[in-house]
Amino acid sequence: MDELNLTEEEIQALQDFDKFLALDEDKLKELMNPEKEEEDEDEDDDEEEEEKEAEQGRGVKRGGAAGGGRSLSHYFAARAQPDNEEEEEEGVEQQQQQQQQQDERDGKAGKGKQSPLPTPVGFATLRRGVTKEQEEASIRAWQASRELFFETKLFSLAKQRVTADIFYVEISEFGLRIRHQHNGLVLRSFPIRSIQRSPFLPPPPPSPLLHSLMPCSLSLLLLLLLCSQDALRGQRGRH
Amino acid sequence: MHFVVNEAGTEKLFVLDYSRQDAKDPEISLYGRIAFSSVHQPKIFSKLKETMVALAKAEQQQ
Repeated sequence: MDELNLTEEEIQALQDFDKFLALDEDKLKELMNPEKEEEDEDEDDDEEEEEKEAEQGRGVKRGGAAGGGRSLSHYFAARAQPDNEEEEEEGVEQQQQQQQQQDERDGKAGKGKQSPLPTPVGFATLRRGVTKEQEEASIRAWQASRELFFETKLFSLAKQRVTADIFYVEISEFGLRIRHQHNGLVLRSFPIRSIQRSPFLPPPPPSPLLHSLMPCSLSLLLLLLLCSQDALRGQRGRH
Repeated sequence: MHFVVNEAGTEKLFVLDYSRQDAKDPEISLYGRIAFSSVHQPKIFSKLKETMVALAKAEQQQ
């Protein structure tokens, strides 16, 4: 424990030296990384050897800076392993950052290549032709199937006029649709639920037939009851 | 939907209302009305009647 008892000056000197080493390591990494990119995987072993040599050199430097003091040598020995780990971590982080930067560059280049894709000549006319064909096919299908629907003209109450165009009415359990003659586009659609639950539908009035039958049915019931009671009395009297 | 019969009972109408609901006004308002006459569109009228009766019967059975 006595070896670790350092004076303030010694501690300050060590901290300054640490800073210097850190700067030196950064410079070394900057110099080493471009080499790594260029070199093949086979040369990785050589790099490791070089790194080891550099570390050894640093150890010598540290020893030299320590001035051969026992306490300082102990300090460097204690710090040697964590320094290596930090170096490795920093190296990995730097490599990852470089890879990310490269990926971004590649991505940007790829995007740059994709964005100004030259449209082939006549593409617009081709697309127009395809859409026109599709429209024609749908119209043909509509014209073939429109016989199933009901042909009618619409009379406008406001204008008091019958429309010149013919419309087709499609009625199914799903509702009612009014379609245009030429292309079969839906002019107006009445889903069956909207027909049955129309907000403007007044509450159903009592059925006039039931209403008229009500007094008759009551009197009939009374008559039936009376008749049945008389019949029961007659049967009891006979017995 | 309204089912209207004239006084003489000679003409019947299926009246369908179509509504409109604006984003500003949440209340449903009457937008238009369309009717199918038993005299002028007998096929449409009979088909509509048939469909509606069938649906009503199916609902009653359920």
